[in-house]
Amino acid sequence: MALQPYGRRDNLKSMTNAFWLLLGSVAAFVVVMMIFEFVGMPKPAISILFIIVTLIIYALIGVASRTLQIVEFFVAGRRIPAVFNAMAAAANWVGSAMILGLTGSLVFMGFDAMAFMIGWTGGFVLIAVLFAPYLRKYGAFSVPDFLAARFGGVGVRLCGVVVLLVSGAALMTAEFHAGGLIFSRVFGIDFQSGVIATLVIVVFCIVWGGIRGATCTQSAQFVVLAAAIVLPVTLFALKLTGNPFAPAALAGLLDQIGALEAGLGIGKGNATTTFGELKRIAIPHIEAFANYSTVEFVAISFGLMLGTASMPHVLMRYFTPTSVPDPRRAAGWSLLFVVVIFSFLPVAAALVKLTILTEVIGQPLSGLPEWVAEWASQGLVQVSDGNGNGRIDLTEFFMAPDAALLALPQIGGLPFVMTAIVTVGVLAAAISTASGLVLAVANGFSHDLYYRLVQPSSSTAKRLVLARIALIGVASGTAWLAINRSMDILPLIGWSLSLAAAGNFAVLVLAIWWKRCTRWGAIAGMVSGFGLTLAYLYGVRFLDWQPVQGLGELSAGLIGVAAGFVVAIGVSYLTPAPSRETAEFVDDIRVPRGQSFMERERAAERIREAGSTR
Amino acid sequence: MAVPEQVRKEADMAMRTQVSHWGRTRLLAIAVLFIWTLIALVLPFVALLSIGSQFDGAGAYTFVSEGMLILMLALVIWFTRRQRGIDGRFAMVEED
Repeated sequence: MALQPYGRRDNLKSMTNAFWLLLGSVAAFVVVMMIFEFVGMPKPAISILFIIVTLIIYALIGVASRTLQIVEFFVAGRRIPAVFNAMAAAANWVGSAMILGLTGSLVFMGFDAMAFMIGWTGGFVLIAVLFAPYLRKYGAFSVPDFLAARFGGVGVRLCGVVVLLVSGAALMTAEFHAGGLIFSRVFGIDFQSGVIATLVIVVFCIVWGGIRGATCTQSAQFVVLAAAIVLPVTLFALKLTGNPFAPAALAGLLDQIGALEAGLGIGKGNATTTFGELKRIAIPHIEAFANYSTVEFVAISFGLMLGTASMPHVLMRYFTPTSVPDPRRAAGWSLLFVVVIFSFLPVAAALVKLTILTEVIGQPLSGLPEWVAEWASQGLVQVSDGNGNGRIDLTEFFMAPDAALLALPQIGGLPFVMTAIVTVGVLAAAISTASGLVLAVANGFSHDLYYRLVQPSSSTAKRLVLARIALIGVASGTAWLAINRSMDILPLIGWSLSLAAAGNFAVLVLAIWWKRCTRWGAIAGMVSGFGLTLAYLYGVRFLDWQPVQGLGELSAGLIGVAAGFVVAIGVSYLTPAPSRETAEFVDDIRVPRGQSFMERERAAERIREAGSTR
Repeated sequence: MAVPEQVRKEADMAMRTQVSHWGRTRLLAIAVLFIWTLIALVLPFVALLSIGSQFDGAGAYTFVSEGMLILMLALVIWFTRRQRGIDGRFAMVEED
């Protein structure tokens, strides 16, 4: 999917052709591998081939997208058609931690896991309405860039970079961890080596072409990810229900689960529900508020929505569309692609749960399906006939929630090729999200800190070298964090989104929608929001503070957002109003046409330079 | 003296157009955010009432898990089209 240096329609045509070529190749490859499996190719070989072929595809795309131009490296020349930008944004957002965590939560937490689904999709509405076209009209390379241009001075940029670094690091750690797990499982290597393998792949995909390369590889990764979710779930649903459209089969599956749960007495009794990190089926599938109160459910939904809309690596995606109104379309397309994936996950969870309830619970130890022993050998399933009655009761089967999606093809008795597809899909999700995050954070170092604050006169070549060094450094640092992490994946996601919302949401809204917001108001809002939320998260996690009104790690961002708005507005009224130039800047970014602000600045600079050399 | 007067009038017209365009954009944004709040906050609880009645628990779960995603998507599509209409009415459309 290499971008050629010609117009946007030509870009759309070339990328569309490349997309269909990729889709056809993936389909052909899957068919070939199914034939290989049929004739007896060993399963480890199938897995390894799948991973190697997909990694080669990503690497080739990355190399083909290499560039020596700053605008191409940081914003892909602003020539990315909306639909491909959206595919990349969807892959950028839907990480492996998210899809594994969400599926597992839907299996073991019941209805309450919906809060995550609502949160992780609703944020795109906010992006489309509140942020996307205005950021694009400015023409920034990063969120701190935009904030610095709007408010002026160094302080706001530094605040933006801190929010970017901290929120990005937390989520990157989760994704590198997930990538490390998959590599270690497939290749039989230790976890640390798996993380390093993820690091190498991520860096190789993006070091050549920056966001241009990332966009192309992420579009390809989205295809793989979507296939990994849609294909196995469709086949499993077809097998169990006869319905080829899996989401339509959900209601029927839920009825069957409900009948089994009533017979087994799920939700009654006080037997322990966890075995280390493993969980057992203890909550009726459709029961609401078994884990969270109503307030907590709403808080998590809103907290995650605000966090989704504030993540710098997601917002960065909307700097690259071809025109100013395009980001709204891109946000809509992104939401469509995210919905495609998320709409299959509740079905996946229902299929897994139904099969466990029918083929494991109540069965003799000797009559369990093969997948139980295989996953038990990896420590992700625990079964025992503790009461000696010759059967596996509800309280005797435990499973790692994250394993639910990975084990789905085996649980469904599908061809092994489907297991390999899910594996590469989850790996694609880990790599794509990690790539986007690494780029955003490296951007913060090389563009926002070094170029804008330390050496504004540095040459293009130097900036590109520094950007690439920053990229490698950030990825390596995060890999180290992933190896030495001390928090589980879901809290890491919570910290990341909460801090992003607390630091960015209020000030971005006010920057675009309220001209009266001043520099000091913005700084005060960001510092107070981010600082309060960080202190709260630290207290709840490490100092045993009691969560206030049910605001846990997934919803702590609401505190910072509220504080950010109040403080920013209050301080703005106490400080002198912004200048007329600032007001004109805001008026300009609200106009959805014409050259971006930065393009006009660069053109004016070129004219000035040409005039001074005569 | 007629040229500067004409330029001033055109500038005033452009400013009024911009102000009107932004006013409509802001109203649309408020409307979308209101609907978004309803979808994210109210609809799950409306659906849950029917789970509680055990009349159609599975249907309510399906509505929240699938229907809400579709509603969010429909909202963004509707918003994009309305905004494009506003941009067109005030001659703010940029051709692709």
